[in-house]
Amino acid sequence: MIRISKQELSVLLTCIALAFGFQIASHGQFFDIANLQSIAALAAEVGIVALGATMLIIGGEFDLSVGSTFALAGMTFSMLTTKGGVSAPVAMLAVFAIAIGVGFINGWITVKAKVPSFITTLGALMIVRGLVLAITGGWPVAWTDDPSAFMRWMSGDASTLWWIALAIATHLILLWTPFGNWLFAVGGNAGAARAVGIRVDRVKMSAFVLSSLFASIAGVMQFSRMSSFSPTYGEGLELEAITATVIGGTLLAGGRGAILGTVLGTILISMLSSGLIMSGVPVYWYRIFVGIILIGAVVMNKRMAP
Amino acid sequence: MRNLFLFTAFLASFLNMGASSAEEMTFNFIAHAGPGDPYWAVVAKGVQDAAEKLKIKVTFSAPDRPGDIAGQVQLVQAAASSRTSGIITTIPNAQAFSAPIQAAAKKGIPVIAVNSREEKRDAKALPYSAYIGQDEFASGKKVGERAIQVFGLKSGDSTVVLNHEPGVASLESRTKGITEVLKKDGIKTASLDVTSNPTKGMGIIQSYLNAHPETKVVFTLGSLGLTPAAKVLRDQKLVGKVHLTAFDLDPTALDLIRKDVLDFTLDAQPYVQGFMSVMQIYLAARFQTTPVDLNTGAAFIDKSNVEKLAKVITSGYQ
Repeated sequence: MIRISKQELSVLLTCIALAFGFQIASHGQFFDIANLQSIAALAAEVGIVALGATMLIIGGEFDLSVGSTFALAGMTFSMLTTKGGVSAPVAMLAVFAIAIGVGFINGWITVKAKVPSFITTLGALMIVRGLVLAITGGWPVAWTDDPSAFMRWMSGDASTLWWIALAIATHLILLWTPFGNWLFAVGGNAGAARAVGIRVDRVKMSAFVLSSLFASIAGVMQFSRMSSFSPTYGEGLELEAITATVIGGTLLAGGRGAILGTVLGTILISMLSSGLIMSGVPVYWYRIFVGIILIGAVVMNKRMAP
Repeated sequence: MRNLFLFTAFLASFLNMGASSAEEMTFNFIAHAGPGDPYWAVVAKGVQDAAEKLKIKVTFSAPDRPGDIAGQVQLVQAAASSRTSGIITTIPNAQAFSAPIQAAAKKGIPVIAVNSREEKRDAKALPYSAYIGQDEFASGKKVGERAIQVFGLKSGDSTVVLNHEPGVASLESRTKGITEVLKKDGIKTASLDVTSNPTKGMGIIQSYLNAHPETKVVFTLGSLGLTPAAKVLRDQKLVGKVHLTAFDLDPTALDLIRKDVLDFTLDAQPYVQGFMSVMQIYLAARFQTTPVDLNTGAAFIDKSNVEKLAKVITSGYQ
């Protein structure tokens, strides 16, 4: 059921090598259970957004607006549950409705007006972020009671479980459903896909909606974790998600990629910041390392491509 | 009788003229960010309240894009060439603001700098008469001094400063102030880039505290660093063992002080910045007084005074 490709294997080996390196450099602190648990839990938000990004990139499109959708979702949920007095499940439904709307509009404009998704979602990035700022006046929303059951259920180690569950689901969707097959076909060669009767536009629009939905789940997760939400949360998230996806071996041009690689890519990035600090490396180096690994991964992918 | 009537009418119109000349005084307040930002919303409220009390008109303007220096310079230029009675402006960039402020000074328009200004005072290049705002470096020092005093820090103790936006001048100045004071007493400080993503920040802070359990104080520089730091301290049951300080005041800081997670925060008092700059420019324009500098970053807020302030904070005065 899980076939490991060469790309994924190389990310996996990099992860293992780095982990052992950090274990030595941190004088044996890295493999502490609590540390590993926190790496996994804190990677969950980027990880979930990256799952959606992977599906969309396989389908040959981008979504740069996920960071803003993430913020709109977190803000909507926090305002509804704190000021609005709405129950968590109802607020979650509202969040999903909004996310589906954003994803649908992104997809619809991209396929119907034939605008590159880079432009459509860049516009959406600004519009949705602007909305969040306008609604809140720039103010953060704080949850001052103890976290509710729903919030506990969305944060801590539970967030790792959500991430794993969604990763398995997307993995199955990609490999075992017609939709998954269409997505690969559409991303690989849209013209050919259309010729064999795949409804290219519908497939792409569905992938946009899924991308927004995943971003919205992650946004609610961050509010649940922090017990507060600031309108600037989620800035730059789109690039982190794309970075994790690309490190994991998904082809930026579409048509090829895998969920396992993305999960490993996310873990790799999350491990880096934690490991570097424990090893006493000045933290300003973190971004440098991520950049090197990103470029290195793509170079490797090119050489290993079939 | 007729004369008396004329005299009264004359007197009335004279008095009225006096009143209307004060009403007609209009001033310009030009900031680098607009009231969409909560901090500037509070400054704007201070400006508006002062203007109402003085019965004058103050136009608050800011470039469309926060931090757009060229756009802000244009606003200052436009104000200087209009019939304004005085200009209050932030100075996020010394070189760019030199020409329009000199032009205003040449025309005899009083200028007051507010909130941010050049690092090293150069009265020739920037002839404004006073600065009203937080002195970031001095505020950093204040936080460091208070930490030593309240937490009883000694030589050899370890602390860490969390920077959520490395490279931003105001945050680096705050850091410099804190570290300078602590270093003098032989207290160790490290600086940590916690990014503006709080979840990632949590991981970084958690890893740091695991690797450095001897840390006594965590200094945060704003709300984006405070939120993840507070969360880690609560999750790891370190509240009370590791002290936590902050800058600025928002509902999150307020809540954390109430819950004893945050020891204290230093507030730059944005309302005072707006209110007092208008008061001073009015006095300068109307009575030729000389405006004086005011360091507004002077208000420590902790458990002892938080309740008194809670009400005004939520209504936008702080």
